[in-house]
Amino acid sequence: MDPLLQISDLSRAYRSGEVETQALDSVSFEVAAGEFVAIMGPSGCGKSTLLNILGFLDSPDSGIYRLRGEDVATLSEARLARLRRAHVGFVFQDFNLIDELDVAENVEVALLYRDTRARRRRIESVLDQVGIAHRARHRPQQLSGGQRQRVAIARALAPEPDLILADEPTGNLDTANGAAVMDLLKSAAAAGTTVIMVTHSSLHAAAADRTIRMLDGRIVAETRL
Amino acid sequence: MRLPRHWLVAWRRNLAANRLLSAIAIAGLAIGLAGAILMTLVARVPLTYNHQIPDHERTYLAVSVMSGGDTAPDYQEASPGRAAALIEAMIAGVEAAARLMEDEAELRLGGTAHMETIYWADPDAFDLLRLPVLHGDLDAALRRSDGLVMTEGNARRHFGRADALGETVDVAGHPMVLRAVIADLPPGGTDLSAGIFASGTAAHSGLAQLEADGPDQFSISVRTYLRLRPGASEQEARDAIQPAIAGLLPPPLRPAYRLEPVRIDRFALHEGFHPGARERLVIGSLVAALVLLIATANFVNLSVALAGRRRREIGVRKANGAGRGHIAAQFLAEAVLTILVATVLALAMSEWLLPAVNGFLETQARLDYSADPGLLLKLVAGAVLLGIAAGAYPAFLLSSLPPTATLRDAPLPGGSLVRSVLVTAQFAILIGLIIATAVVHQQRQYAMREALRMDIDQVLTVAARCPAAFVAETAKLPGVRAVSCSGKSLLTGEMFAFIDWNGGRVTTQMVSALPSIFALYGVRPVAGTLATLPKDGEEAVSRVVINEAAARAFGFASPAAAIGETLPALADASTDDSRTQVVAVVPDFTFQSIEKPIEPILYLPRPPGTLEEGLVSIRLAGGDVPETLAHLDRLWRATGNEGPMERAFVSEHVERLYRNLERNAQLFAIFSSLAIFLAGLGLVGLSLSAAQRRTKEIGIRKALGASTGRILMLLLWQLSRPVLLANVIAWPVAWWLMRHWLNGFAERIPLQPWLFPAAGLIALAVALLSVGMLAYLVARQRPVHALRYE
Repeated sequence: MDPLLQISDLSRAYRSGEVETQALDSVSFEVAAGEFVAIMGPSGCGKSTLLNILGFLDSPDSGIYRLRGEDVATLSEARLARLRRAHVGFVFQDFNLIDELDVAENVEVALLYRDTRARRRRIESVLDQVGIAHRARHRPQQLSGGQRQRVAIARALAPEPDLILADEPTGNLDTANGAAVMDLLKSAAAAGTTVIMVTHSSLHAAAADRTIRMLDGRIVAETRL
Repeated sequence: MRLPRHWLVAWRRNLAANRLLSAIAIAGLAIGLAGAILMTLVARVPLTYNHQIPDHERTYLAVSVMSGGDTAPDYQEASPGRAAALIEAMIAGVEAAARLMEDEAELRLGGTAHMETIYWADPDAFDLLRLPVLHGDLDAALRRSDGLVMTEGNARRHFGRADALGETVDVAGHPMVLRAVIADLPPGGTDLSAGIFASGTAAHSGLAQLEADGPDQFSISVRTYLRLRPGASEQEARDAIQPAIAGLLPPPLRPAYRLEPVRIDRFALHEGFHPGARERLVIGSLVAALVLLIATANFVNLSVALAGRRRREIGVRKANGAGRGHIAAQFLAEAVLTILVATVLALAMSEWLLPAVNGFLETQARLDYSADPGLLLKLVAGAVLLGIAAGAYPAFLLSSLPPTATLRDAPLPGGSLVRSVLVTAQFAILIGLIIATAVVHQQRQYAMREALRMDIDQVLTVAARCPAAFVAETAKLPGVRAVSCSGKSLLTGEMFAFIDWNGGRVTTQMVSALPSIFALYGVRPVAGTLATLPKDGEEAVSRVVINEAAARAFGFASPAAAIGETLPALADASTDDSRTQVVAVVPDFTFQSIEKPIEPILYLPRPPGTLEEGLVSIRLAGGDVPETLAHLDRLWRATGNEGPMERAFVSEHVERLYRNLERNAQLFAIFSSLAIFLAGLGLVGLSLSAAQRRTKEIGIRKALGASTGRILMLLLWQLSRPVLLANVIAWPVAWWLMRHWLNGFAERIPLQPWLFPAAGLIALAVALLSVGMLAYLVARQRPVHALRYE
């Protein structure tokens, strides 16, 4: 299978005053289209930095990042925005829903900047898919944590992206809700969407096709199930 | 359309979610905008004056100017009746000239008659003043001797309808026919005061009667309009007018009289006819712009503070594909929408306040959307532009944040610096306005008290030529302390003489006054004595009292050096020897405005002469003034005087002199109060936002042992810094501007250094009072509450 993503020698350092922190240190790996990959490691090992670069929210200092064979590591901010629009859906640990918008409107945000036809039908369909359609007109504050994360997943699924990046999507959820969220991500992967998930949970990582373990900005192990 | 709809939803709900801060931002902006809208409406009137007349930029009214010596020229809108024909015939640059003659005429229609102000107009008057015509043939209307033109309002009032062509009305006893109807004149927007124009070719017209006067009859009785040819030089026409009309002027009048063309669209700001109007317009516009600047700075500050709370939303939008342009457009659109809301409120406030503003400034500004549909469009366009300007910075700041920064709880980079700059600028303006208010107030107080150099408290004047019985009886009234007589020129300063002196010529005011007038006004000689002057004055004047300005003008080394000197003071037929001896020099006390230097004055110790109007000055005891005034009124009639007594307090005369100064002082006071309110409001908003932002920091500080007092001091110090810095900017600018303004007065106060730190302290007090209570409430929160915040 052709790789969707190719990462080679990717490095990223942060400087704060005199102190430089090497968040990523020559990271290389590939992810095939439709693959479900889990990234594990202790806090501060560079997982979230890697996810931000993969989702075009941040740029590497050096190294190569190819998406479908195209080098995207050093593109302009406007091009990166277009790539996000075209390919990526995000799920965050703390949901990142907009408090002032209701559930349907939050999902609609993912379609606003894309040329999506039949938007309303798509929103209904995806809310139905994650089992939250009955809460479409509720505000995020009126939902439980599990329900909020379902909305976040619906928002990530709505534009039918090639790649879903999930940053500890179950981190703020209890076991039952965590399992439900994992089922949704597995379904997305099964439907052909590539999913890369950062997690601290071995149980949830086990649901992925492959687990990458990181430490101090490097990949230290890969496990394929 | 989906994006704008989505923005609208986000904007509306964010306003509701942050309703207190949003209300502060919108209310502040609405107040600033209302001030700006009101000043714009007021400024429009003089700036669009007579603009309804085509070619107004080359149409002039020839006005009469009388000037003598160093006194201020006297302007009159009327001109000699024969000037128009001479100007049109003799000045090549003049394309046309026509006259209007104002008159009070009886209009009789059916059984009813009433007096109306009308204009007798030359047949080609409307060729020159091409007012918008609604019905009839305006060009031909006045060529027939019975022709009449009315404005639409007048036609409706007299005939019940606008289209009343052919209707007849008796004007001054002769039937005249309505031949044309023109649009109503904009109230206050034209120099014309009446809307009825009757043909000047009618035999009974005022213009025809003027023609019947002999060529040696000189009067200033018509309005002469002239239009220059396109491209003709105004200066050349101005220079050519005087020679053209010279033959009309009686020889004694020639040195003092001139005819001056004034462009009709600049008439409302002409210093001769509307003194102080230009200065008031400039000051009002400038101060309104500064207040709008304060309000806009508040708005920008609060927008940035509010936008900081929406980092997550921006991050989510960026993560979902929004580019910088999308984010910038969204926040710009929100700023414009918010400002439109503020504009609607400001328009409502303006409508409500406009009558009061018109009353205060004596203007006739209007906010009439139906009469001026473009006005609303311009105001909305202005609001949109302001929204774009005010929203640009927050939009740029937020759209330029990298997505990873927006998804973290990090402070907005750059926001605090801009916030500090804007708060500093706001307070610099506030401090400047406080200083200006204080200086204008002090100068006004000085002008109306110390600069007079006399005591005018409870002094009443009666216009009369010293009627002996009245004066004698008045002096006996228990409520009267002193009575004295003088010529009216004591107050008006309008009698002057040229005295040849040492090869030069000194212009002096001449005031006839009894010697007791000085004591009545509390004026004591600085040299010489008044004791040698006879109590009732002398008909043949041989002695004279001069003021210090006269002593200087005649070149005496000191007031004392002038005593005993003789002046060729009088071209007075009553005395053979025109030389008079200086017996006393009095201080430069004045009844005139101190904007001009105090002029040399010669006080002639004689009762008011027959050539001059008289004035009786009465100092009241001040006990029961109404009763004393009633006594005086009765006495006036009882001593055989005719007509009502024309009496006024001297303080009223002085107040009239300084009405412009008074209005400027009030204008500054009003706008300074607004600025204080807005700056305080802005600080409350900012501190509300900062308090929420810094709850965690305060919790940590308290957990580590900081007391409420220490935290309160920290918060207040941080909020006070921009205010302190604002002084550094405001002081030199205010010093320079106010010094420049004071230089416009011949007599002025020194700029008091203590005013500057005092203004700074007031600004600091405003800042501390605005945020003190809030800072205290935040500082005394329990640490556990603060740390639980997140």
